[in-house]
Amino acid sequence: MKDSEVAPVILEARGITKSFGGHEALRGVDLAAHRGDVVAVIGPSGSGKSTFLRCLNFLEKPSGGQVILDGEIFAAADFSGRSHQHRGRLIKLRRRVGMVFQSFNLWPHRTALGNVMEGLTQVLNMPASEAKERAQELLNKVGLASHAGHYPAQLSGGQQQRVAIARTLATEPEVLLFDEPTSALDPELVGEVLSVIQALAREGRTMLVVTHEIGFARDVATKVVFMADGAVQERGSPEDVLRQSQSPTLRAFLSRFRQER
Amino acid sequence: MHATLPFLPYIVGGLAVTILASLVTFACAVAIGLAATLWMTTGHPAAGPIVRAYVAIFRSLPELLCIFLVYYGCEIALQKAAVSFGFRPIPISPFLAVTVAIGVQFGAYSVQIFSDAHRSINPGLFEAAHALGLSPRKVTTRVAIPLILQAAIPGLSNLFSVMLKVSALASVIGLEEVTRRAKIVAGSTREPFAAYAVAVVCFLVIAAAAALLQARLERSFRSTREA
Amino acid sequence: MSESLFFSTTLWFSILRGLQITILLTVLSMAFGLILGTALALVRVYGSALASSVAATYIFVFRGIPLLILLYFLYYGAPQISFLRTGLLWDVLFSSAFGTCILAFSLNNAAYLAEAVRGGILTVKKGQIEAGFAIGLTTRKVISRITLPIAMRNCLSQIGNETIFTIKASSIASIVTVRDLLGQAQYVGNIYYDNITPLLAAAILYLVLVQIVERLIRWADRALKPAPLAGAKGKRPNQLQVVS
Ligand SMILES: Nc1ncnc2c1ncn2[C@@H]1O[C@H](COP(=O)(O)OP(=O)(O)OP(=O)(O)O)[C@@H](O)[C@H]1O
Ligand SMILES: [Mg+2]
Repeated sequence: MKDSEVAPVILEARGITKSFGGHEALRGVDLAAHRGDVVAVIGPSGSGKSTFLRCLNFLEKPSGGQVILDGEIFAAADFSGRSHQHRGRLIKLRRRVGMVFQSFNLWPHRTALGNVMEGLTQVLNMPASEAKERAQELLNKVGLASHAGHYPAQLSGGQQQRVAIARTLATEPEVLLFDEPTSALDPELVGEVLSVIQALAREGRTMLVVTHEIGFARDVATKVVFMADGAVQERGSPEDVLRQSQSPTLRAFLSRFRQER
Repeated sequence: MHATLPFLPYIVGGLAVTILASLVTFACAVAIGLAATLWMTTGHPAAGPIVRAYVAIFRSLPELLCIFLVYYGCEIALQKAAVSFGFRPIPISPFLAVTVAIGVQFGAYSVQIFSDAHRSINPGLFEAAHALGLSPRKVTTRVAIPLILQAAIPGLSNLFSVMLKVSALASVIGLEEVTRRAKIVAGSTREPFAAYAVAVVCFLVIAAAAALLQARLERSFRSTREA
Repeated sequence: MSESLFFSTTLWFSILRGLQITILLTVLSMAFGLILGTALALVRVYGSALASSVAATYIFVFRGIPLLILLYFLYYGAPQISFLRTGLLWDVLFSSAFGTCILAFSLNNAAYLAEAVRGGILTVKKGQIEAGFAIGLTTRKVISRITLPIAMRNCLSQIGNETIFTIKASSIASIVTVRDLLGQAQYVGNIYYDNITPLLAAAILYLVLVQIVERLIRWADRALKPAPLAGAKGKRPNQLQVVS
């Protein structure tokens, strides 16, 4: 992974700001992910990690700044009004930037297979038979081939999250965003989801992972970003950020985890 | 339209009958519902099955059918009584027939409202009253009934607005409320559109008033809760 | 009540014919009501402020008018308007009591079902909708393939209640000469000079019909909500786990 510096930048955020009413949740966040990067985003609760991630695929419309995907600029200003002019571009951006949610958000009226097929048939316009085959492959990849016919309510949290990952992979996104993918899980189910994410990292996929799993950040990430108060406070290699940093806020944040251990 | 104008007060005046009939019927239904709910809470072995059967039957029957059953049933009973006791048959009051028919029928709905209300009350409140040494009768009258009524207010206010609309069916057996009067006017003026339009407006005004009242009620409730 | 009439095949044969009409009235007016009601609910939730308030007004008006008055208004009042007396609208709807009943019941059902569906839409989890957007679905597809199907399941029991309400309310069709279950019972009653017996027979059929519909709804509700085999659990506090 040491050669990630020379790989081209695939996703870049420039000066992303976001305010909710008077409250400034993001105060100008810059971040660049190179192809193959696994960026772990850590930080205390309320620091704006989720908001930042959601701004990257415009689930949240940023108040200002730009998202640049593979050279194409998506400016906050383009999407601020009610204009439909950029809607098509937005759909394309979202297809190329997948997102996995903390609470899975599987569609309860579709089976595991149906959840994965949705993007194939409706976004990629794949014929149903082909989509079914592909969806089955994706479920196989997350170790749930035998659960294709199960409804979300019939799956454990860990299984639901793995289906959600397969659903996200279906549209073949170039960048994957994970928002605390294991925080809603029982401790004994965390491992199965983390190992799927780890396998994706090994494939060389570009990922941004908001996480409270410091162990994951240390072992899997190529870069760690520490956010506090709506801005990036520290960034660098896991070693630099997690071990060498002298920032008092970061040290205080990390010490909470040390104690828990 | 011109022919209908002089009859405007007559049709609108029917609202008084509509509201009066609804109020009396509503009182009937609430009394039946409360009594049945309290009976169920005594744990009498017959109470559950009987009340459940009552609810199941009257929830399924059309209001109009109930009205006819009561109306014709009373008519036949009165005729038989008249023959055997030798008095002249008296006409049945449509008001009474509707009150009985709809009262009994909506009693079934109010049982559901009251038993939901009863279930929503923390049983500790009743236990506290018993623990205080109140007699079972006093626990019922001073604690259970007020609490149940309070918790049932949203459901009951909804039931009442349904009752107002259902009372239009009473016109079929001759109760001279808004609908009946509109029909009479429509027949004599040959202007059914205008006559029924007046009836429509009457009910819309009632609905608007009910919506305002409900909003105010909810607001005052919320403020007492928060206090 | 007369037992010989109660056990006669003539009575049951004719009120069963009435039952068919009752079922037809219910099914048609529920179907039209659901279509219009869903459209109203969508406008209410996603429409512009103006469109939304128009839909809200419709809902308020048709929930406020007693069904009988609406029926009288359409059956006796509408034919006074000359342009309604020509063309397809007249042939299909206003010229027959049955057509007018369908129209009145559908308009009424639409108002109640709109509120039910709106409630269903509002209870769809925000994240499930966002997940649709996140994979690149268009707004239209998110609504038609995710929000609405989930919303319909959410309000299934209300749709069931509305169906039962319609079965009962459809009896007022008898007032404008439609021979539905109640109408047929009254018709038989007039022939045999016995009002009560056919009404009791009709009451039994109403009971049975409502019971069947209630059971169907409960079955559908259960069939559409797969039993959890192992539930997902709520959020736990941050846990530190070392990747193995
Ligand atoms: N839709 C919203 N409306 C108003 N304020 C919001 C909204 N979403 C987020 N915020 C605010 O923005 C700030 C950042 O929230 P965000 O969810 O991004 O934090 P986070 O770092 O993801 O926290 P956590 O670790 O708890 O998930 C918080 O102060 C939050 O209250
Ligand atoms: Mg978050």
